[in-house]
Amino acid sequence: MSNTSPLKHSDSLSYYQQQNNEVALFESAWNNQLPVLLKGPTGCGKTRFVQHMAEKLGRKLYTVACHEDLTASDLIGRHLIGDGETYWQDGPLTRAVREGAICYLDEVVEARKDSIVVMHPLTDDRRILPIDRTGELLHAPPEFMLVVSYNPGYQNLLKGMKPSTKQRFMSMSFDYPDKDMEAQIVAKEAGVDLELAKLLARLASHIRQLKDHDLEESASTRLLIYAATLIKSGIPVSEACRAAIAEPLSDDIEVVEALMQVMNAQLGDD
Amino acid sequence: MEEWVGVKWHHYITNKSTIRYREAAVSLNDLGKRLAVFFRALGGDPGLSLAETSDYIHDGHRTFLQKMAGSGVKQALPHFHNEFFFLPHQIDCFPSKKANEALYYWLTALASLNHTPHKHHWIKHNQYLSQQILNNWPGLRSRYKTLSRLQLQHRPKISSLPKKLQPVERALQKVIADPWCDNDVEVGHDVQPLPVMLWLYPSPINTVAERRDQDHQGDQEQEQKLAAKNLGDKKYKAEQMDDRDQGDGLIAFRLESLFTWSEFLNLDRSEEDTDDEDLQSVADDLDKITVSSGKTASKVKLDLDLPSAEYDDVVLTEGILLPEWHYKKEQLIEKQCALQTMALNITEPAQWREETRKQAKMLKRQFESLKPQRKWLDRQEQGDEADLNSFLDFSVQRSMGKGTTDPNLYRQLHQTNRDLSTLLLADLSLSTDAFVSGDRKVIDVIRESLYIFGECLSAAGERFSITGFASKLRSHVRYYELKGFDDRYDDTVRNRIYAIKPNFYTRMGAAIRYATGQLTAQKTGQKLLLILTDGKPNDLDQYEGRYGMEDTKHAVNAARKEGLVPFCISIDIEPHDYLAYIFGGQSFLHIKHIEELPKKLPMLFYQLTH
Repeated sequence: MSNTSPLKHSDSLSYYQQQNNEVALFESAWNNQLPVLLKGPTGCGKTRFVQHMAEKLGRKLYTVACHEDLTASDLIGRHLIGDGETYWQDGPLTRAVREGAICYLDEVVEARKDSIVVMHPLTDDRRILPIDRTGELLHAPPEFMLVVSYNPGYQNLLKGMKPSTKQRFMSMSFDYPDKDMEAQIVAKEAGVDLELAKLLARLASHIRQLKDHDLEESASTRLLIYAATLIKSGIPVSEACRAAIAEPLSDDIEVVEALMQVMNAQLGDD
Repeated sequence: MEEWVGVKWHHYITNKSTIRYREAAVSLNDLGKRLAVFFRALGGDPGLSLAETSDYIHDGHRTFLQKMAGSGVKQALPHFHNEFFFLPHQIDCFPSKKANEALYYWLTALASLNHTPHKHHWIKHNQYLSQQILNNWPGLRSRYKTLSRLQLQHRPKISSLPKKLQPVERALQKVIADPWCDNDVEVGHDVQPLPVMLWLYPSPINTVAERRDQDHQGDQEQEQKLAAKNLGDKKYKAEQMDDRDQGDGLIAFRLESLFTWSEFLNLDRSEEDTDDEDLQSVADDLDKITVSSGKTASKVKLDLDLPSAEYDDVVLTEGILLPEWHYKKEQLIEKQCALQTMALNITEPAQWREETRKQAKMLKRQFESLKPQRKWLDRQEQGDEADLNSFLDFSVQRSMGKGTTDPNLYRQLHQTNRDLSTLLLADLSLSTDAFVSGDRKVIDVIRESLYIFGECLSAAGERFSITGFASKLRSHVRYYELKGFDDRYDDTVRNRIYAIKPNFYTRMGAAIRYATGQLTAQKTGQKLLLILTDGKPNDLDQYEGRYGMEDTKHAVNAARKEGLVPFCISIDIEPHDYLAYIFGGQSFLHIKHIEELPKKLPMLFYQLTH
């Protein structure tokens, strides 16, 4: 993950298949010091994209998975005691600012709103980070970038991003890639042949029609890669699909069975 | 003895003439949900529902034995009709359970292309559908092979058929064996082969209607002939009356002054012999249940739905005066509406359907796990444990010479309550008196939804209130508090929910304003106002259309300003644009299949708040 050398050649980077113009957009956001918000369903490649871009731009990446109990000091830092004296330890956000790295807050809506407020001064043209505890005021170098992501699929009234926070970011929307591209991704990631990957991608596109009606979430690219990986390691196709696709998507036995029927119809049950 | 022999013979000959494997029977009841998911995943129209079809008379050829046994006249055939895809309620035509089950899936797969076979080209159409499915879903090929082999075994021998049926049957068997074969034969109008179990059929309702139309023409001709014969014979002259109101004129006589009964009574008697207890068996015996399709010539808008005074609910307060927004004047007119809080007349204890109770129990169990758990609170003055983090901060501060005098250095285990109050406001207007399916009305679904919602939220330890409203002009907005915030959710509340009845209209703005007041008085940080409605705001006066919408919108915005989170759940037939207009694009949900409301309502609450 860490990488501080300047721009790398594309073959040594983490694999990422571009869907639209997101790479160019992200690059120009970085060049112009704009914070970025990534929206998209689970397992569609948001995290991989950030990782890829960090490597491409030759910046170190600090990833924070947000959760309800995340406090501002978890992001900024805190005092610790050692050897009879106290010392200050930077949090990931502060460290990223000091080093001119990319700080990525995953699932940012999960964090409490008051924790999120600390990043506001970093997201406008001031680009500063005041640290109250130590009285320090950090100015972010031009290489520093703030990236946040969230999944707009969950409609939660009490949780959700404030419009005022949203407006501080340049936003990019992600979705599952189309069938052919998804097949390529699955083939490359799991190391299976393209034919199998194509079948899995086709299957996924059908299962995605069930979203909202029968399933809460659609089958992600990540699940397809899991299935392909299992198949590659010798697990029979239908067992692999059950374990990697049907069971993770629903707890309802009837729905799982129906999904298995769909898979058998696509991949054969013998 | 005679009877006994008769019964035995009937069983014997019926079994002999029709091939059924009762022990291998698979029923739609067991597979329904899976098939529905399968149907949608393969691309079937998500707006359609799966349903079971009854046996219909088909025109197919019958064998000698079947004719002798009088069986094989009717068969359940898979077909589309209106909003449904119909499947036989049971399949037992193949010797193994697996094969019968596979047949259900095969038929569902064919249906997922959303095509109704053309009624004059159904062999070719089914051939095309089969090709499509086998191409798209290679996994089904081996199954199709098995099914088609079994089906061919059950087809009649070609040589045993009447001459004119032979070419059709031959072509048909060829197509079943190999859907990619060349076939130009199509069924004629006069001869129909035995139905193919592997195929879809045109809607029998249409074909029956068509046949009836043809028959009808014949009848009329005959009647005219008869009439001509009887001309002049006044005594026995019969007159064929159409059951249709002609002319929209005023009623120019008093109904009670009808002279005699013998003269003429234009009444539809067809519905009158319903005294029979066992309606289901009657329905089974009928080939087809006719639903009147005649149009009502005129509509009269009347306000006749006032319950008589003695059965009416009790008025609690004379009126709480509320403002109303006049969008043309752009001002809030004070004291425009009078709202009465009402108590329901409870006549009988709640009796929920077994199904509903089961559902409530299941969901309740899920919600029990959401009960707020005990949680450690940091930075307390006193507590069971030392709070290391705050001690650390405190030591740091002190060593830097900035120590505070009253450090909070402890942690304590606390019963935390969710900082949320929820008020559910249900529309109880007369429109909820409409039927949903069978003998169930919208109000029944709402009633069950409120019940399950209450069970779930009380299990989760939420703070909530359930209310309903209806209105009759601005002077009389009824507000029913079924469960107040401080009421326990017990049988009294359940009985109240059970007692709700549809009445009057939907003056939504006033109800929302009152509910806003109730909710604002709660001391929690978050306040959720759920509005459950089946249509637009409306009332008898100007509160229809724009005026009602604007007033409701104003009330919703006012609620939002008070810090409430309003959210509308609509069970209107169509997800109309007005919802987004009144509540805002993100603050409403339209539930397409109203039958799902009882289950969806608590789930929605969970999604919205967790």
